[in-house]
Amino acid sequence: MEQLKKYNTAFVETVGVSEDQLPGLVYQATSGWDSVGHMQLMTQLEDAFGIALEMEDILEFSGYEKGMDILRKYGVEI
Amino acid sequence: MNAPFSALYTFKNFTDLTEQESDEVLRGRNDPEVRRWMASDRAISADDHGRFMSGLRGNPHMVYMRIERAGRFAGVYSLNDLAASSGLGGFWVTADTRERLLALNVVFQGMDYMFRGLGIERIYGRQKQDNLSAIRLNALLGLVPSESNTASVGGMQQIEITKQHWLQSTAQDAKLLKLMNRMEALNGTT
Repeated sequence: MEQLKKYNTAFVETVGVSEDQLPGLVYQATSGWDSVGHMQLMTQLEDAFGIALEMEDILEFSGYEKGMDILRKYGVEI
Repeated sequence: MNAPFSALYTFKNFTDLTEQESDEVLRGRNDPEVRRWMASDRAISADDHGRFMSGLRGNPHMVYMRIERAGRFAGVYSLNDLAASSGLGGFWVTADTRERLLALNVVFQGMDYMFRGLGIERIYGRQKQDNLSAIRLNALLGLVPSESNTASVGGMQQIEITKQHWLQSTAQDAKLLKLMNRMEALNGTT
């Protein structure tokens, strides 16, 4: 539950949407999740979970749910 | 102090471009993935491009810089209505730059070149008050609403940044530098 809270907080603070808008959210579906917002989201997730994402995963991080799958590769279970 | 990663970036005035470099600028500008982010999505003809490039020569009120990162064309930063070391900033980045999440870095480098390289004292611009992307990018780069012109006309707000603010604040912003540094490291030197 704590992990989900950190994950959601990163989205809310960088992409600028409310938590109830997160399910199904995909990259560039909202003006806040543009390329700059994506960079901010990635670095905030790295800080929150103490990981360093690979470029390939940053580019494949295309949505809220997809991101959970990607973080699992880094040992982060949400 | 040099800007971070500045060794990776090179700048060339449009008035000094080779024909090949000029053609690459035109192709980049006409890329649909670039045009969709611009105020006008109209494609520019080769003739219009040629006339524009010729018109820049000897024009003290406009400067257009072609930016390369690690030898690859990355984008353009420009100043229009240039007078008394103050100009209207503008930019576009290539589709490749955007895909590689380097847009912020390229715009930062363009502005840094204007301030440190060309000695510009003030850059100003306008932003739509409902354009969250532009507002966030401008805020990251230290462009804030003008004190001298706070009125919003047609939903557009004037913003500006001085060289002093750039050097003392934006270019020292640890959070911003960390963000850009991360993207530079991920993209490497190619």
